[in-house]
Amino acid sequence: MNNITIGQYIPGDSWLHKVDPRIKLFSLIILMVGTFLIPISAEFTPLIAMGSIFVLVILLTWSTKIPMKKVINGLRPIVFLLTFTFFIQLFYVRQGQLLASYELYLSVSSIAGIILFIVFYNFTKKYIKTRILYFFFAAFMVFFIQAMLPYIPLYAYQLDIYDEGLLRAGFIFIRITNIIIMTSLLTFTTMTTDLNYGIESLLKPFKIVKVPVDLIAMMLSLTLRYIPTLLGETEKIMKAQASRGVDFKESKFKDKVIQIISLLIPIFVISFKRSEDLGNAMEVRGYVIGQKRTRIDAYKMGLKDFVTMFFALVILAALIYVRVLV
Amino acid sequence: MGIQFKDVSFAYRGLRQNYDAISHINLNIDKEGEFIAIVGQTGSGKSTLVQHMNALLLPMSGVVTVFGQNLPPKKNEKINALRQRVGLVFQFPEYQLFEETIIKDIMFGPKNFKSTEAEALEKAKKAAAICGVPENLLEQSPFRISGGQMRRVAVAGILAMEPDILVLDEPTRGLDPKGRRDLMQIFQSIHEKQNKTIILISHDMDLVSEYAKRIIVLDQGKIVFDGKKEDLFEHPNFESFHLDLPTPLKILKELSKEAGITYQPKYDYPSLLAYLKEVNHE
Amino acid sequence: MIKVIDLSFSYNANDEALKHVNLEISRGSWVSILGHNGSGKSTLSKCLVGLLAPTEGEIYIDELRLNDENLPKIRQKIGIVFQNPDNQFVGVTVRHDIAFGLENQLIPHDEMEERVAHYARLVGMEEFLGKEPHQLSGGQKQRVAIAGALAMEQDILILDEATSMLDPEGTREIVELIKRLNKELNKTIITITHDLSFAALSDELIVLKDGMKILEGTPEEVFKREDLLVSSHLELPFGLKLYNDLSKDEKTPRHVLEALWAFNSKM
Repeated sequence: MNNITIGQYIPGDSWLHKVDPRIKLFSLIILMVGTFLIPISAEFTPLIAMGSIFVLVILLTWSTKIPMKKVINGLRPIVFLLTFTFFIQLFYVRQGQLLASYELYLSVSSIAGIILFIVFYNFTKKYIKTRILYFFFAAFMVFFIQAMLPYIPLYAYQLDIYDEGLLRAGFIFIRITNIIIMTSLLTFTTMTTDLNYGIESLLKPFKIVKVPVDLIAMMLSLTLRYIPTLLGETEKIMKAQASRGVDFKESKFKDKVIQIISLLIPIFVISFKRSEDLGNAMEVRGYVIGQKRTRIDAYKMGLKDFVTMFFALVILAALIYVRVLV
Repeated sequence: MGIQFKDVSFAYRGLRQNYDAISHINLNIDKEGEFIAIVGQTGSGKSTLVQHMNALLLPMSGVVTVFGQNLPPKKNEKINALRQRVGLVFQFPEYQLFEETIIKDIMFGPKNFKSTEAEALEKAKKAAAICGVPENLLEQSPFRISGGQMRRVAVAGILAMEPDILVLDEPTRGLDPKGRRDLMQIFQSIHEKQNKTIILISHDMDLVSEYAKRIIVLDQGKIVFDGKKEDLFEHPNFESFHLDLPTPLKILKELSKEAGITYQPKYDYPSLLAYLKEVNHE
Repeated sequence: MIKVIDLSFSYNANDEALKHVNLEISRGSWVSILGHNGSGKSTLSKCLVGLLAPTEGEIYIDELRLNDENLPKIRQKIGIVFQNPDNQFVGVTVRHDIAFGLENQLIPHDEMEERVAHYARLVGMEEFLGKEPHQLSGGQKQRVAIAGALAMEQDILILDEATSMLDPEGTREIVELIKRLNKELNKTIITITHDLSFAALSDELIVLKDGMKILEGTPEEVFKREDLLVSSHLELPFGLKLYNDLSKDEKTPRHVLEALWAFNSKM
């Protein structure tokens, strides 16, 4: 028996927790679209716009009383992407004014230095609380070391930082961060069943073009329900096959294939049996595909929901205006 | 040799509650000749304990020694070979079947432990015979046979590895009465003919009293009794173990109270019947 | 309440799962259907709830003939709990699962909330309404399944090997619940099982073998035919087997048999 629940919901009492999931999802989409609309430019208006969105996101996070650390950890999966994008933009954009120029050396000493630093980083990272910031620091150090240790040079190159590059790098960095944090806030403050309902409601208009929205919603709900169960079953099968000699730590390709087959086939068999049983159970309980059903969860929209939606639309309008203006 | 636990503790990390953990386990299991039942309420740690015996789980503190190999192992020490010597059959083992044919599936274990194709085939055929899997089924798909037969195939898959010690986690769960009896007979005959040590997790006290010689009782992760089955059922603290008495003993106790028959412990049906007939004929 | 007339079912030309089965189950009774694996008991239960259409014969539920036309009405009268607790739990939480059948029946929201709370309490799961299935034991999941069927206020409940995959504690929970459902709520209960100590609690037993009914009667009557039970891979519970064997021995004193009988009735 686990204490893990499906999804990332963190129970809480904040206004964002209480907003109707349809409005939350809708507002999220609107804000995401709006964030992408802001053009990258050094002019005052776009800068203010992007900065305001960032401040808004911080304020929203604070209002949910969810610890900042948790939200920042939501960035973990894309930390590499963020850093990579930042540096690519920084060093490859050659427009505008040259801000700074650095000589960097791939030398025996710098390579040695980088290796030493990476070792140091790997050892010390468990003691650092703000891992993500530490990672950025490490990325920065890789370049810094190349600048500072030219001894026994093998290859020297120049990194020019232009103001356009810095602008683009910063902009894109903040934009991606904003979007990820907004999405995290959504999943942290909304229960999976409510999220499900939100998605179903947003898809409803597509019924007109014969998209089987009810069916999709049911499939989504069943998938969510079975993920923890399947994970548990996969673990059990792994243990059973390990007991028959499958060494999951071996990484030869041939072995990997057998490992995967010995896991996949039992899971498939379990799933097929499950789908048969489940279909029977649902049918006996009166489920007919396509037929109308009532719902035990009641969603009533109140004042705060309309106000939220109103503000989201206002922000979108403002951002469209910014785009048109620039 | 065999299996030793020295002050072993283990808890599941993270979000799982500790009810399933084990603490300060001390245990000695002979490499042959034993028939041990591990009993206890759900959550008392039986599965956790048993998964330490073939290194599926490694102790968090203390040392488990399996056939001379210490666990946790030193860095880079390979422990996979242990799993051939201690064969573990999980609950509902039919879920592990995956090969195209039954014989191939039974051969899977031996082949993973470096048997050649011919050796594995030989071992598989022997194991299939012991488990009562008919020869004419061997080339069939393991998914086209009944649930009871699938279980036999799964057990054969572990027996084919020719383990020294056999560990069984509720092997009879979900089987009908005849299936239960047939499967336990297979284990009993392996125990008698090959003198193998068999370790059995079960909730069925009748089963335990009929087949086990030694019983280990777990309660909230600790061993509260480890000894002969005769001593367990007469133990002064038996109530605190939260176990059922096996039915033969229940009947004997009742008959001694209500029908004046002298209480003499019997642990399976034939001996119970024989004893009562003997008493009645006096 | 249930009439099965000359029911036969074949999965294909070679596989006759049921052969000319006739039976009647009266309202409010608790009937156990026993048999070995492959005897046709699961096929019978699937026919009774309209999941399988008979190859031959007829089924009447509460005077209604079981056919495509009547199926929706019949589905409101008869429910079933299957063997695998995980493979029938549809909802993301206990509450959603109990409500599933009600949502299908277009029950209005407020009434649904009431029924869900009421039946959750009845099966003892009211503290678990927000829990997700993987946080529950097998016995708890089966209780939820029973609550779901009860919530649909069906008069007949089939439990198809509902305790086979459970541990003794889970089985005990379910057995206690079924006793209450039959005695206190007057539900017609059909339990399909190979556990004779469980079956001994019911009013009537029906034994199937190789697709045919070979025995029926009260538990006492059926347990006397040990030969037929053994040929069906069934085993008498300990105490009953002992009683039978000792009864056959003339030297067994009366008081011993009586004490044994009393013991068996307590179980």
